[in-house]
Amino acid sequence: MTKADTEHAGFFTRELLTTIPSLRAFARSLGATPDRADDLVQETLIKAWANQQSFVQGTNLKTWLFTILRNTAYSEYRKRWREVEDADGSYAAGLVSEPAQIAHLDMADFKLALSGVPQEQREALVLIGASGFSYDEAAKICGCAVGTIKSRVNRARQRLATTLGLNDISGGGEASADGEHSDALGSAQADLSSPDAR
Amino acid sequence: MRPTRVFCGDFSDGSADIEGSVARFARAHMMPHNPQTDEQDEAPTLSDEAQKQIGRKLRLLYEQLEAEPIPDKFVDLLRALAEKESKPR
Repeated sequence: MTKADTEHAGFFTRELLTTIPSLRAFARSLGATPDRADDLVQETLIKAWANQQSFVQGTNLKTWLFTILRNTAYSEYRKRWREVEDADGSYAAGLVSEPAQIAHLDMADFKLALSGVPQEQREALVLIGASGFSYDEAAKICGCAVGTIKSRVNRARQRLATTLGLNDISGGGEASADGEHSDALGSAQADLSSPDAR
Repeated sequence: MRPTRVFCGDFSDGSADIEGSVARFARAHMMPHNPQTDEQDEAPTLSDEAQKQIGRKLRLLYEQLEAEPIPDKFVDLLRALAEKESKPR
């Protein structure tokens, strides 16, 4: 091992170490329990270490690590998440960290509301609103278009606002994630009935 | 009452509209997550205040999670990985 290699390894280790808290927070936000989140982080660290040659110097290491964690999470836990999510309030429970130093009642409502946001939208909202990524970086992490991220973030916010009663919209309060869906239903039904009407 | 039609590839009898409608109906209900609709940006209807509140709480929650101390096992793991690498083969 050359001196440069050793220095690089030291740098890499330090960078991994400083990203751990954020990786754990992200895993928990995705719906993993504390134990599962730590398993995910551990696997991410091992994979990152084994593949450090494939990390492109000068690019964002945090983005790379989040991508690894997300891919790991989705390949291994997708099914389980779908099964357990919201079934027993385990998502909200998983987010409870002790000691809860903040106005806990208020935050409990927020956690519950967040658990009701569909996974893909929640993930986009967390990456943009909390993890500090740009839309561009979040799109890379999720493997989708920037426009898709924007749309998901909007819908997540909309859903949260509706659940938390932050919307002042009167009457048309259905502007939630399901809004476009029911519009589609309405117009499709109108289309279907039109041949008979003629 | 119209007779029930079974589509057999011929639109000449004017059933094209019905087929089109069925296709639209299917698109709307069987593929709700198609990228086309994903791309569409809904008009922002959230007030600045609502957006701020959501942003603040989300960051608070995340920071709370981030503030938890790094378990020793991660430090040990990284140390073990580094040592393994520096050992001559």
